[in-house]
Amino acid sequence: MKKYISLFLGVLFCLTVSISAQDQQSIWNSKDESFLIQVIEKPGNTPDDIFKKNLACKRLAIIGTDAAIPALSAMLSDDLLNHNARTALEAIPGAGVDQTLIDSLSNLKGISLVGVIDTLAMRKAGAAVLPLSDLLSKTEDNNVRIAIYNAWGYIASAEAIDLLTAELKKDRDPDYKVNAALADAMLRAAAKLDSEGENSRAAELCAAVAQADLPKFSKNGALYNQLLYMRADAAEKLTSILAEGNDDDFEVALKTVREFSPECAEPIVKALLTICPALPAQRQAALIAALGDRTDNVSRKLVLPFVAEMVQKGEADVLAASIRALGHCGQIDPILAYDTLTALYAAEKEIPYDTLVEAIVALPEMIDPKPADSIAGKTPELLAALSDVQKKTLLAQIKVLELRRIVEAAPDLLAIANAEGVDTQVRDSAVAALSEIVTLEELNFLVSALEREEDEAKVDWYLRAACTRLPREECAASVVKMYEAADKAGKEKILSLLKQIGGPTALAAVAAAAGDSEMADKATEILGQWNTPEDAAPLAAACLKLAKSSSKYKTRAIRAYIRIPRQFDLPEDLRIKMARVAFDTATRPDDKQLIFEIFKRMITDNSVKAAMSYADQPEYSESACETAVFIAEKIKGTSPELRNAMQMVLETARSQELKDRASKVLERE
Amino acid sequence: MVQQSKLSRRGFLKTGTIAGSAGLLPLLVSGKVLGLDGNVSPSNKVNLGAIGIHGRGTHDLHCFLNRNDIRFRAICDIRRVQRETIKAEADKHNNDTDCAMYRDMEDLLIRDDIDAVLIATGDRWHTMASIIAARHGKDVYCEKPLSLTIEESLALARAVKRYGIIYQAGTQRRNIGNFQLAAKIAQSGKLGKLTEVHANTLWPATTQDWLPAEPQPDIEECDWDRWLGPCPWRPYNQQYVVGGWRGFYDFHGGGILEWGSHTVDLCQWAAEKDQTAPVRYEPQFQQNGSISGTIFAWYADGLKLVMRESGWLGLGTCSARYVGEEGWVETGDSGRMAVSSDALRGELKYFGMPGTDPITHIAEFVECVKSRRTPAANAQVAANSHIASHCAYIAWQLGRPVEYDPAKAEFINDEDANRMRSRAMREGYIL
Repeated sequence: MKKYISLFLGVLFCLTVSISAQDQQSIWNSKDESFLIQVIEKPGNTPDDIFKKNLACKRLAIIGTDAAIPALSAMLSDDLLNHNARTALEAIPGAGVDQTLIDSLSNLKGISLVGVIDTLAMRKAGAAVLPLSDLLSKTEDNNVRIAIYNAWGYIASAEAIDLLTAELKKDRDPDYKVNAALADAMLRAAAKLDSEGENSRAAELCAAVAQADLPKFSKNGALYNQLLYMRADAAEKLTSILAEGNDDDFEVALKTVREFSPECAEPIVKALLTICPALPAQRQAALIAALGDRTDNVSRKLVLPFVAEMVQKGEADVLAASIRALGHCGQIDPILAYDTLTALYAAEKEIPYDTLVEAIVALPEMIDPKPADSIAGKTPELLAALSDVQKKTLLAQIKVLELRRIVEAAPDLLAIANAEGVDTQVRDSAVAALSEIVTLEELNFLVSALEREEDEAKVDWYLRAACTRLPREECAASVVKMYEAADKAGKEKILSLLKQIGGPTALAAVAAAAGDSEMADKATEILGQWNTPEDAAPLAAACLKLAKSSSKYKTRAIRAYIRIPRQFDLPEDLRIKMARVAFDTATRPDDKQLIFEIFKRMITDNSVKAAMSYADQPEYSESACETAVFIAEKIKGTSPELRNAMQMVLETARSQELKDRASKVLERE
Repeated sequence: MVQQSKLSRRGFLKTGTIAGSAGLLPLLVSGKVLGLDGNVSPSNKVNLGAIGIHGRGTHDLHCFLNRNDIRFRAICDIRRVQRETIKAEADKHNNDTDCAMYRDMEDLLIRDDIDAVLIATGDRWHTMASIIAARHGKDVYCEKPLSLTIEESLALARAVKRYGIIYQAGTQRRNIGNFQLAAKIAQSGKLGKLTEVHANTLWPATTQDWLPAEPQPDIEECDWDRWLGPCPWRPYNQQYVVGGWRGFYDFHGGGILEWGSHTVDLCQWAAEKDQTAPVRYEPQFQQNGSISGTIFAWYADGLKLVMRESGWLGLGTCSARYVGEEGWVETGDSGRMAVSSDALRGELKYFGMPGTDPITHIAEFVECVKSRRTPAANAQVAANSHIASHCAYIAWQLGRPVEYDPAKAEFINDEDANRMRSRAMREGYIL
């Protein structure tokens, strides 16, 4: 792959690609095949020539016909142009291209020959199979051999498969890449056979690869597909590998356990469940996990009772895998699964609690854990004297209540959170659960629980967790009441919380705070970050009022105002109108400049026109031109309005680069 | 090199609580799940290599390096300075000098002591590097977009299947709480029958331009030929190599794919369309007749997909919105969510994790490498969502509607569009 480098190194230093935009457009947009043929027939190998030919070939790939074949085929023997020619030839349909490529095989060598074989592969050119066999018998170039194998694998006709099979019976090449390519071609052909309903034949091809002297990764791929192609007949081989195979084969077989189609699940799953108890613990755990991941009901019906039993007697990884599988298969019989899983709370032994929680939460929502089954009635004395296992059990129970949002648990969780002497982790867990559970009426539960919390980040998180899901306006009203009673530091935090809640009630409170000299700094910052678009009108009014009335916060207010039409999806005419208001209200040039960012968010003729309306103001003329060109470049086609604007850029802009870009817009069709 | 037992090296089920393909949310994102707690014996570590690590790739790599179940062994990059930078970082992290450096990825991939690779090259190499890694039996975490064409998308999914490897596209939002919850709400029926899904995309256009030629560096400093990889030759210019390749047609899929690889994927997931793609695509035109950046698409059952740049609620980049007959939900990279009613608001949670953070997505990948489970952003679902973005870009380039048959992977009675499904690759590169 060093061909281009060596050929070009000496001449590239001083060359640039200098083809004009007009030339480029005329080639790229051409619908005239004969014009494109002229481009590629023109002699020359400079970068400019290659650039044009590359463009023309890309275009011929879409519109080319047999008429372009002679010109394209003439490029094949040129290492510099071979790829460009194939770009078009690979896409042009018909036997004419295939035959031309086949005819060229005898005239090419090295990398150009490889390229043509690759293209025959991508075209799945059946007529090439025998000519490639002839070529294989003569070549000593391993890259060509690899390409031929690839092509046969892509084509995968009966002839091609026979030739590949014959190659497999020969001695192996010292180069692993040749052997890997042969295996890859066989696997590709097998996949085609399977897709055509010949799964037994496909399995045979894979078996041949799996048994041959080939790289281990090729053989792994072959075994994997062989098992899947065998369908239900794989049960015996699969159980044998899982029970007695080496670790590599075990891993390959394990992956197929999750992937067999539901139609062949019954015999395979039954066979696997039969051997599972006798496997070493690590393999047992891996197999149970794989079986538990199967999503078809036939498998789940078979696996559920098995794992329900394993949960009783399994240890360590087997126990974890069985718990997880119960969660996955539980919807077949949720009550059995729930009872089996929750019975583990009383096991008084080390169990994987995170996995247990996940499994219970995964069960259908009709199975709602009851607080009375777990946390209700936990006295302060009990909470203060938890053993390690009891603590982990309680934490798991609380987590389940939190994740399933069991509203009835709130009073009991509050009791735990407020109990004297309770373990910190248990207390944190109860407060976290409360934040996910409390209703609007119970928000004071959470607030009272948080009064003892010293970590402000946690307080912030829990309040945000609650306010995220409570009814917005009512929640905002409650938080506004909290604001009124808070000190300055508390008020600042509450203003951030109000931004997260959003909506008119919260916005009104923040806007009012912006008028309070003590809170204005934080409140104006929050206004600049407001992110509920439905508040756009009152937000704009608040910002504009502030921009006109406050000298201290004028810049912040005007930028908050500009952010509204820039960021929110408002009607185009309103955004342009707001941009003009912002321009007229702002006093600092830096702020005025920001309105051009609003225009850039609208890829329309109107925004080009709006931007250019500032071109007569010397301080903003260059920004206006840059904005207009930026937008125009993104618009396909050129209307009279757009052309006028670009003409104005040519007359007004100081930057030559901008003028060039405007010219390019004018040159396009 | 000694081939260790993969079973013991990968340590099956050592992390068992992460979200699964069965639809569990990662509700308990503990330090253990993120691979941050406790000690892991060397034999239970996943051995990682990396290919093409720059800006975003560096962020990904740090997430891997910070896991105690990862052993980073080798870096491949076409630039010497990058190879040395990453090696220095890895050696410092590992407290040794063992991180190997390669210019050619196949030298890295042939090592049998490497289980998985992180691929974060420029877009032009994503498919090719992933396929080469698959052909070497390596598991792959690859930055998005996974492909530049429809054919590349399909070829990648086929290669992953051919070798039974684990593949995770770097569409991390599938493992981020607010996006998961929004999808769950859409799937739960709480929005009523889903009628529209909206994906935040960028301006679609790319350019055919070439930058001016500059003197080509020594191959050890910067292997320009390898940088180009499967793409058409053009003269060297440093700007491409330091990240300025975006926007060039040969190297970049345009603005729909840039964010659509995330957001169209989110829409497909929320709408439970992971196994298909829309069947009709229609670019929007403005009143003056010029084309806008918005594309409408429809699935076979009539569900509408809207790919648009503007009109979002300001919830952050890469927003997605799901609209049903009875309500809507919208979310974005800020982690915040918006809904149409207080009743739906009751479903929400507060999330503090930005949508750009790959840590949980990488955690899922590592867990899948160990357990051999198929990850959320696997090659097949990522291929389908990328195909939707490619079809939309083709419709935009043609400036007219196109109809696509996902089962046949071809446009219906549309030769122009069909010819745009793939691009010929340079000699020696084949999908």
